[in-house]
Amino acid sequence: MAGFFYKGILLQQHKEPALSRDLREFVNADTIGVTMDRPPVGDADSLTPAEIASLARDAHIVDERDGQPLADKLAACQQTPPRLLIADAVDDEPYLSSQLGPLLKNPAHSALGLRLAQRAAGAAEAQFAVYKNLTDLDIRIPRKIEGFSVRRIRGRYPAEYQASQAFEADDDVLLIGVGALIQLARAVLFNRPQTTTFVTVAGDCIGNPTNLEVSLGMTVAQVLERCGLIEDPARVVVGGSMTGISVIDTENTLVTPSTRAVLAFRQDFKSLGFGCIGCSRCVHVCPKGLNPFFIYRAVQEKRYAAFRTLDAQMCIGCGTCSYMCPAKLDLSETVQKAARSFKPMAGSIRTNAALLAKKDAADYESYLADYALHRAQIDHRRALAAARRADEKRRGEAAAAHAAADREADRALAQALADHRAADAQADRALAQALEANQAAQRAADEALAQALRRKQEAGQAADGAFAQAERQRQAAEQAADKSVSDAAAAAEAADRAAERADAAALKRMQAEEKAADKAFSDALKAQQSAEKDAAKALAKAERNSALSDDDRQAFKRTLDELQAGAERVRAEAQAACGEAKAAAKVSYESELEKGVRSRAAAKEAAAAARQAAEAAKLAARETCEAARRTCEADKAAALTAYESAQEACEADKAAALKVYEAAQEADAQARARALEVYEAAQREYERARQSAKDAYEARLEEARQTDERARADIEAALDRAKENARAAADAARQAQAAFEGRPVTVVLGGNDIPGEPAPEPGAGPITAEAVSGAPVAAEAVIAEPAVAGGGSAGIPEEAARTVSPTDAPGAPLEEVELLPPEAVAEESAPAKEAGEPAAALAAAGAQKPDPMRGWRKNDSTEKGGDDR
Amino acid sequence: MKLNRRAAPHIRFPESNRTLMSDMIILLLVLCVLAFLYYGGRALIVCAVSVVTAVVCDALCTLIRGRRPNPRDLSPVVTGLIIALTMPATIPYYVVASAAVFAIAIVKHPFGGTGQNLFNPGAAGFSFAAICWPGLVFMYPMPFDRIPAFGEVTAQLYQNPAFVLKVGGVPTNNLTELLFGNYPGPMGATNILVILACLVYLIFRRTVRWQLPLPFLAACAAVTLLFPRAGTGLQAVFYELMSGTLLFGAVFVLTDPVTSPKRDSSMAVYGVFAGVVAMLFRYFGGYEESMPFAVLIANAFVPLIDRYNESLHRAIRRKHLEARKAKTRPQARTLV
Repeated sequence: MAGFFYKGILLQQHKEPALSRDLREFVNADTIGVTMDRPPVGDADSLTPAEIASLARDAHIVDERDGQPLADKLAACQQTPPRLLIADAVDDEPYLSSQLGPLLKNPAHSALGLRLAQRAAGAAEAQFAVYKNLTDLDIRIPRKIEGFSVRRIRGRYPAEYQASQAFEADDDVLLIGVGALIQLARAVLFNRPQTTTFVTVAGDCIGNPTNLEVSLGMTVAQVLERCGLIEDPARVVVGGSMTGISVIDTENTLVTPSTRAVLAFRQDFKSLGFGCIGCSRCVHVCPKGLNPFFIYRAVQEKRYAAFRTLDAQMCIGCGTCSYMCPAKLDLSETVQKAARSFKPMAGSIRTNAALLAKKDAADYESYLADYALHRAQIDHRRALAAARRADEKRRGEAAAAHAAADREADRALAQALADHRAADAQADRALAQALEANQAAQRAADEALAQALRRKQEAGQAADGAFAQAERQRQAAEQAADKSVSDAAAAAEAADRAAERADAAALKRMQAEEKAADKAFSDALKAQQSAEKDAAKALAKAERNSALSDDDRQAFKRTLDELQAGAERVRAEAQAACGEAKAAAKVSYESELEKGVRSRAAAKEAAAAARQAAEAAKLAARETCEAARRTCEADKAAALTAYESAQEACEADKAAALKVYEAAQEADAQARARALEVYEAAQREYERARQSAKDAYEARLEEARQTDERARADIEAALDRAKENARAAADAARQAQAAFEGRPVTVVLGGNDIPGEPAPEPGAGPITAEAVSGAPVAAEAVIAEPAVAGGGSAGIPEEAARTVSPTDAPGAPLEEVELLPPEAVAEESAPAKEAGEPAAALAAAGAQKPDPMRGWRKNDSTEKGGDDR
Repeated sequence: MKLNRRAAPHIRFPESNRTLMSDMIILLLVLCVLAFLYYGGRALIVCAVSVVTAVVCDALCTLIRGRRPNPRDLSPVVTGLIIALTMPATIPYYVVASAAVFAIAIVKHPFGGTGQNLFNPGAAGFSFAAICWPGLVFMYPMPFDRIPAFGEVTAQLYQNPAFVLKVGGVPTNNLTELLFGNYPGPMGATNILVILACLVYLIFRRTVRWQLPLPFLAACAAVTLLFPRAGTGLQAVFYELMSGTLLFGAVFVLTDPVTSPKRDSSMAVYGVFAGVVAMLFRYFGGYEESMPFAVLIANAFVPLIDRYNESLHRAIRRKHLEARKAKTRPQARTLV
């Protein structure tokens, strides 16, 4: 079943005529008689597994199919012995028969080696494995070789890989190359270490294609010469035709234990200028079921994120896609290189993105730091000039300040002098003022005295006037009192006269009333007599009138009687009224009389009272006059006293004014003394200020010098800092670059980090031959495989180094021209006579860089030939 | 000894893009010869006009895009021949020329030129002509009529059997006529036997994988079998497959490596999809011709198909990997 589900390609094998020809030898004469440093083995069948392993180790046998020491592979099986041991003779690459050829020509040794390895590994079964699809062979492959069955591996081109997969899926199996088994057998039989390896030399330029046993350390050029070139090849390939490396410096490329073939081809690939047309042949042949079309496009478009979904890291580098591509694109190379570069991404795209971002940031930082350095240099220049200018400015300022301070001191002194003079003048003015004030005070005192005198005189006059007025008032009062007494007497007399007139009037009125009452009575008597005569005439008339009846007469008589009776009564009444009126008039007269008496008495009383009042008024006026006289005298005395006191005050004022003047004189003298003192102090101050200005000037000069020094130091420090930053940023950028490019790159470039090695010119980039030629390092083309490197530790001649210069290989990316440090060269290119050295170096290299793909890829190398685009 | 450094592998398969294209061209030239036999010199002139226009236009576009024209690139020749052979022999030259210009300058180069175009230029050119001049493109002369190479075309023009199918009739052509192309139709698309031989040749040359055209034809046949338009059963299938440019397109247009999917499984999906779309165009479309439109529509889905197919394959790879890990874990030892 193995191979049915696998894709792949059928290749024309081109194994003839090399396979059917004899196995030839091409050995270094020095290595012919070399034996191991141990006693030869007597009986090969009595060896223990440990002895076989140590033998393999001493013989420095390297398995040619994966480049690992055979001893290591055998030792690894000590714990878990494999069930099946396969002697690998599957030469599935065209032209390659360096395993199958020795197996067919050396069956006895191969079988012995397989037997020994089986015992050493503890495998239950052992087989040989050969490729089945060999159609153009001239010889037959036997079914059994020395008792071991020969297993045919079918399938298309990456058959060895498919077989590995099939075996791995089947059971646990150990695969060892046939060449290593033959070497093991030789070590046991002849006590020989591995000094040779089996190499197929073929190709259309080789005159004598054959399988060759070549001493390790031979150059490829020697090998090609040995087999003969019928024409100049365009390509020389070390390794298989599908996975090998094309070399351009055959003189310095050595044969190593894992070199399987040296091929020389006449044709060179020419770029036909085709682009991918998407024919999908690469997809259909990929043995891993990948899609090289998409992966290649992702690489071209730098969509590395697609690597994960496309499983680019699963690429095994078999080259079938490149082989099939009708556009002749280097698919396999590109895909594998990209997958290797982006191996970190297989686990995490984010990590890679972060690394990329970090690298970009570091690059940016580095660029910024460079720019900052550039700016810092400019700034440094400018800052120095600025510091110089600032220093000059500070010095100028100091001088100016000094001059200003001097001027200030001068000015202060002049000011002090002026002040002094002003103070003197002020004192003079004050003294004059004091004198004036003194005189004024004396004048004022005199005036006050005169005024007091005037006031005294005025007061005397006023007092006299007041007294005279009081006298006048007294006299007036006495006159008034006299007048009122006389008035009162006159009033009493008038009242007497009035009372007498009232008595007389009352007597006349009483007489008038008595006469009126007598007249009223006489009127009433005459009215009665007239009424009686009228009644007697009316009766006589009524009696003469005989016509009247007696009754009327009688009635008349009675009426007449009655009228008589009434007249009688009225007369009686008038008599009574006359008597009453006479009585009433008498009564009123008497009352009038009494009233007159009383009014006369009252008038007399009033006159007496007036007299008394006048007496009292006179007394009072006299008293008042007396009081006024006393007041006048008192006022005069007071005015005299005031005048005397004014005199005294005048004296006192004059004395005080004199005293003030004297005090002013004294103050004037003091002020003059003080002004003089101040002036002298100002003079001293002036001296001091001059001195201090000078001191300050010197101090400022000193300070300016120090500031300038500090500023210059700062400027230099800033420049140094910028340089340091730039250097650090560049380092960080380099580290980020290394981190981003991943482990494979760091391993290869690791040699440059060995301390003590002369560092390459910074920024020189890829190292050219000219840069290399002087240094004791070897410029090696293409070959990163340590065991292939060589040419002696003496270094490469200049011509050889120049062959890898970019001018000679324009298509080759420069990164593949690598520097190997002297240590590495010395270690890895040890002379071939110490046959173990390369194996050890290989082991070291293998331990350094575990590569999961190393197992199946023959002639595996860290760096292959770059693609041509 | 001047050595060069080249990347592995150091031996290469002898075929190149040129080989692929020349395979196609050889077969298309065979069809040209047949067209010459059927329709005379005008057929050859139509082909020449188409090819020359396509090649010149391709070179110009390449120059405009700032690249150097590659004289080894034969893809414009293929495009020109496909456009010419899907036209009637009486087609005016300017129609062919404009179709070729459209195919190269509009459909191919704006996407990035050879290998980058999303749509098939030949199908697009034919579609352009069919849409712009349907009266000229879908009227065909009878074979062996004498057609003047230049000037007014006086020959009697006929409809293709596809038109008969379109209007609901049954073609009257017999099977032999159909197989030998002796009926009015596109210049190169009527020789069914020859086209089938071409298909076989291409498949055995591995220029074309059978996973693409056969599912297409099978899908067309299945649709026809299920929903026959004319006659019943196999007869309907024969008529459908042999009329128009269906078979020609399946062999020469659909298999364009640039615009087809990249894996066998996606190719099959693409073929079936294109077949169903083609039959839908035939049944419901406005034209009797369906293949170019179906191819264009299917082309638009190619990236999608590829994408999902790739996810599927990734899942399969993961499953394999897990299975093998689970199997080898007990030993816990590296094999090699």
